Amino acid sequence: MNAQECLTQEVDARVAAWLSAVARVAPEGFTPVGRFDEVPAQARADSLYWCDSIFRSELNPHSEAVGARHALHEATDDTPDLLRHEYTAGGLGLTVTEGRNFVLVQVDRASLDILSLCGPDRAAAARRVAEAIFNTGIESNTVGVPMTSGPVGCPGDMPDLEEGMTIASNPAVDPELLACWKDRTECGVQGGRLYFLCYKKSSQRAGFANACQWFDDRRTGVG
Amino acid sequence: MADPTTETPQPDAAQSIALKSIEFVSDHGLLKGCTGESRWRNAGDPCPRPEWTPERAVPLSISMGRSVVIRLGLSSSGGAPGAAPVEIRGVGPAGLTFESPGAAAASSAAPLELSSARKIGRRIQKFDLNLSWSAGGGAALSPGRTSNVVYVTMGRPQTDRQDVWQEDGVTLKRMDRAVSWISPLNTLDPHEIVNGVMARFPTYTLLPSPRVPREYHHPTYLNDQGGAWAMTDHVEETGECQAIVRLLRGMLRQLGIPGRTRMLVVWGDPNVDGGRRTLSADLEEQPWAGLDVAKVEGGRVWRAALIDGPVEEGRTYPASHTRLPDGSLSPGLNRYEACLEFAHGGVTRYYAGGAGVFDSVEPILGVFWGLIWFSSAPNDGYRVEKIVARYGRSGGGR
Repeated sequence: MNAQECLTQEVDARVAAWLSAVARVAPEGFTPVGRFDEVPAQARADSLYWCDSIFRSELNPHSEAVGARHALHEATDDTPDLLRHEYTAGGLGLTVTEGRNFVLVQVDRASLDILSLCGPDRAAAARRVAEAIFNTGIESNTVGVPMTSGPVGCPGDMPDLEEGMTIASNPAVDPELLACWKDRTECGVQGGRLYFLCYKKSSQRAGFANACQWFDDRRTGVG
Repeated sequence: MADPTTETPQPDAAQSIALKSIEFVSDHGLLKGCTGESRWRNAGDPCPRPEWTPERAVPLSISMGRSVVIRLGLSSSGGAPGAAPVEIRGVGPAGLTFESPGAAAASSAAPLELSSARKIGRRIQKFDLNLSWSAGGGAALSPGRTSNVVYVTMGRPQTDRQDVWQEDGVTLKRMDRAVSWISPLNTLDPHEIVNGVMARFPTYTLLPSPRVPREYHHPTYLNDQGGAWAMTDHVEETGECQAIVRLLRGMLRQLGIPGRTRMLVVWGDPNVDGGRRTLSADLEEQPWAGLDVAKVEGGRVWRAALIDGPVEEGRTYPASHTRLPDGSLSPGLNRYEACLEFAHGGVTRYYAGGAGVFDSVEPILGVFWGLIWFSSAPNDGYRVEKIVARYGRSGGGR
């Protein structure tokens, strides 16, 4: 196996583990929060920071206009701390699930039944959704934020999406050494739903943070 | 009542001179947002000129060590037709006295330009320029007092990157904050000024704070609300090193303080002198700079990282900076250390967050314990495959 194949295998395994952890939490495993202020302080700040970075304002789960319903899940032995936002915006029913290290955006089948489309149309639809969701613009005043090194959301040349498939926007980039979230995102289909996964990682750090200690301030009563 | 016929003959009614306006020619003319509506943004209308009229008195900024040049708008009434010009005198603090060189024709439509007898003091400061006005020849001058807030800078503010840097551009709020931070340092040495400002941020953080308003995008402060200036309202929350550097640069440029600032990232690479050589890059020129090295060993990806606490080869560790049962943090994996490089007068210094101030870039690697190869482990942990270099830091994670 060459280096790229090894990297792909490792990343696919990590993404699969994250997706599977999210899937293990039944809907009733999420506790609704009436006001977002009720979310543990550090996770609340992280969520605002990353959603403001990643999403276009019209589809940002923290935009008041979208009226997202928020819920949280505290880590168990086999699931991490998770934060969920459910809303409809831009004609898309979206479920955004955040872990400490990722943002998972799932598109409800009712608004886009990706697998009902024929092959090339799936890629086109995924690309349209990515363009609608992600904040790909680079402002002149954001010096120091790297320009994206490739397409965000979907790769330029995308194979036909199938159930269970995960496609990286920029497979050569190692998520553990990511300098900017835009440098690599994942796109795939799980349970018939189109999804995108973005990495929440500081440029300065290598690797990821402890996903089960995201809500620590709630558990320790700090914050 | 006295009999007017017995009094000494009086001259014509006394001349009355009205001060209509004071324009400060020495004002940089760059201040905006005097009404305060633009908050930290580089926005708002230019502060009006002339800076003083009977209806308003707006702040101004002037470079230190210069004479203060003003233009008075005057009008006179009373007095005999063709009344002789009179001397005009304004007395202010610290020897800032204005005097017409000879008799001035107050009735002239042309403004009267005066230069302060002394130059403005050589220190960064804010003061009230209270001027007491009088006229010679028995003429009355009103109002007798005027007052303007003056910000004294080291040089003319630098504003040529306003289209690129959020922190560039002169506003009243920024000027006031910069002077209030730097004036108490009581120095004109740019290195001491940088040292004084950096001392307010003994550490930096990569974690967003719930206590900083969302619009400022803490800790990067990459926003359209004036960038890193808002950090000065949330000092205790600090920010990313890059944000601190941008704030410092904004302050220096606001006050015309010379020197070159760069935000450097510093790292070692296992493939370059066994990790012993310090590599660095300007993050604004190379946003992807930092450690980005991987290889495949035994079918697994090994990545290089700078580690901020002691580790052992072959051991598996929890994810970076996991809180351990004893309250300490597990060693963390890093791509680089970020620091401010400040150069002035042939001296260059490096400010590496809470890790210290350095005279050269080479020792900065020592803020890390070492350089390692690691592979991924379950639950976002990592296995230390090989220790490439030990640099010296023995502490735990930041």
